[in-house]
Amino acid sequence: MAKAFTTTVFAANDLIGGDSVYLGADAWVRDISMAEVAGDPAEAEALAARAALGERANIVVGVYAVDVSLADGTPWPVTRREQIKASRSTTIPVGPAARLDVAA
Amino acid sequence: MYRYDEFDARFVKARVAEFRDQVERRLTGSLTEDEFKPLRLMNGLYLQLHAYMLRVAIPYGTISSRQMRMLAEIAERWDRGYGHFTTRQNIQFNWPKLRDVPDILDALASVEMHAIQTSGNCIRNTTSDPLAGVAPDEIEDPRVTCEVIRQWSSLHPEFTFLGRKFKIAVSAAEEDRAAVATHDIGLYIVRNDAGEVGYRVLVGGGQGRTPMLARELRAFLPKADLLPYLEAALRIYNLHGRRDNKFKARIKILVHELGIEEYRRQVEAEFARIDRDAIAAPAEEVSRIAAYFAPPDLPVRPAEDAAFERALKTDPAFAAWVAQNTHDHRAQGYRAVTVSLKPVGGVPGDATAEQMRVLADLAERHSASELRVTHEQNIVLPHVALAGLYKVFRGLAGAGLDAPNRGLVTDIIACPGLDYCALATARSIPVAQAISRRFADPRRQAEIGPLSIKISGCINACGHHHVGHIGILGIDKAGVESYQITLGGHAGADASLGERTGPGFAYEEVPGVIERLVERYLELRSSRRETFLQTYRRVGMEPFREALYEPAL
Ligand code: SF4
Repeated sequence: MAKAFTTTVFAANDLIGGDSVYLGADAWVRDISMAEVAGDPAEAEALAARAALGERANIVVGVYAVDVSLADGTPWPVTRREQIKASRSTTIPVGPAARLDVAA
Repeated sequence: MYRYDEFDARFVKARVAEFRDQVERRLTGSLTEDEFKPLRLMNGLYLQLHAYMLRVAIPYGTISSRQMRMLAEIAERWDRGYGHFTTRQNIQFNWPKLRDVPDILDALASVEMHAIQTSGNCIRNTTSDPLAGVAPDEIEDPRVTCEVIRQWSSLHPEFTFLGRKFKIAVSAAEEDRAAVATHDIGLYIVRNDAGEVGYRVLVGGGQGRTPMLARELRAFLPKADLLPYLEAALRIYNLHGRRDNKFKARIKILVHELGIEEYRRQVEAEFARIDRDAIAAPAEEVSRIAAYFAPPDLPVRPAEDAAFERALKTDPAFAAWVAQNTHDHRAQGYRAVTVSLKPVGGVPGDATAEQMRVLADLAERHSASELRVTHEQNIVLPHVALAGLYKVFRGLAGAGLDAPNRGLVTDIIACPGLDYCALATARSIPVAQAISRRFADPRRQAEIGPLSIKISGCINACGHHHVGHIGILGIDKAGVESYQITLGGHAGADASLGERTGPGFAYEEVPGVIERLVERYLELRSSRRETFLQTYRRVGMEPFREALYEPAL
């Protein structure tokens, strides 16, 4: 049985900064809530084609599709990995901030 | 300490210039990612979950104050003010920008450091005993051998594109502090019956998906034969090793499939055939290297120090730290200090730029300007006089580096896991932090005694969970983190691989699970002197399994 389609957005890493970015309506965006959502396979295919352009133009690297659920139309990833990636940071304070946290 | 010669220095500079050009071409689009990726990996640059990551080589974990200060500067100037010391005795920067990396590499080169061969299918940083050159139980300084191997393996044309990465460790002491049996090739420096010094050679150890402990390849190898023998061992692996399947490409699989006897036969045949003299390191070169590792000129000291004795009596925190975090030194009146990078609730192995500077300064003043990175993600100040120990302790305490927990339940090894790593299936760091907080009470830690907890965020096992007394492996179960527990692993001379307890546990459950295991151990141990590992080896898995899975009555 073919896997049922899940709503998706397209993720990648920014070439220069390496940080996670998502394909938005007319640019790559850092906030996943601004990402363009594909609601069916045809839309996903169209987004994938646009995302590939970003790779070819050397704006981003490593494009792939991320399964999302929608709350009030806003996408949020389904898996823990992609949630962490979409939050664009570690789940815990790190570096100098962590030191203060530990000392507290 | 070892210093690069002219050739090394010129080579590293040329390599940075070459990479600068490659980055430029990548940014302007004349190199595609497919073309660029192998080039950046050869220079230690990965692309992780949130950012690029630069892994910097610290050969056999030895680093000078000057180099440590440069790491601090890099952390501040081009990263987010901290770095992460790894289980391969290296350091990783987690947030560099691609366009800054050539500048970072230039800064590293200015203190004889680089990121070459920290990635890719080559011979990686040869690791060693963090107490090398210090430990009273050692035959000779193992770093001389490490450096001979580093020079031989750097850019070795035949071994630059192996089937998989290749890791070597060297130990020369009675106590194995280098986890030798978990390496592709492990070398113990030993003395034979005739009193000659040579190598006991192990092969085929490794962690990852199919953990195996290394087997003995040669009981005694004369010292002069080291490189020809390694060359023969690598060549047989390179000829037969599988390149079609990443998971079967490590030498451990080859040794397992051929059988150690057959692999040995082929290596010995190759060894007999090759021109040993052409490959062996010239004796003058070995003595030149050895001269760099001559013990530093430490002033002669009395065996006891009155001020030190007084501080031990008046400051119980200091006494606890001395008991747990310092080691015997070969020289009278000195100790080696382990600086724990595992404060309660902290990120294992992380140090801020400020902490790196404190370490550099303390090393300069009190440890012949030398530091070591341990594979347990701590730092060693190898040569501290008893008379300076209290000052070092106070200096460390001021920077939050005084945790008296070396080898205890909160001295946890954890890989970066899903907070950073693109390959991760689960988080490691917050799990370590939660366990560390749970066991924060120092009296309780002392009561529990030696216990190593090691956590990996995926099957690649960078957190060495297979050889943790308690190992924790985070996996992905339909998008949710789940943690498998293993017991009875050990990385020392009597190494063993952990055995799985049973079904995994949810993220939130892990600290409670560890607590139940520890409580069961405390009930079971025959005396306070019996460690967790000894108890486990005596009673086996069953009582621990019960503690985890029997429904409470
Ligand atoms: S064990 Fe896995 S998650 Fe952890 S650092 Fe290695 S590859 Fe990443």
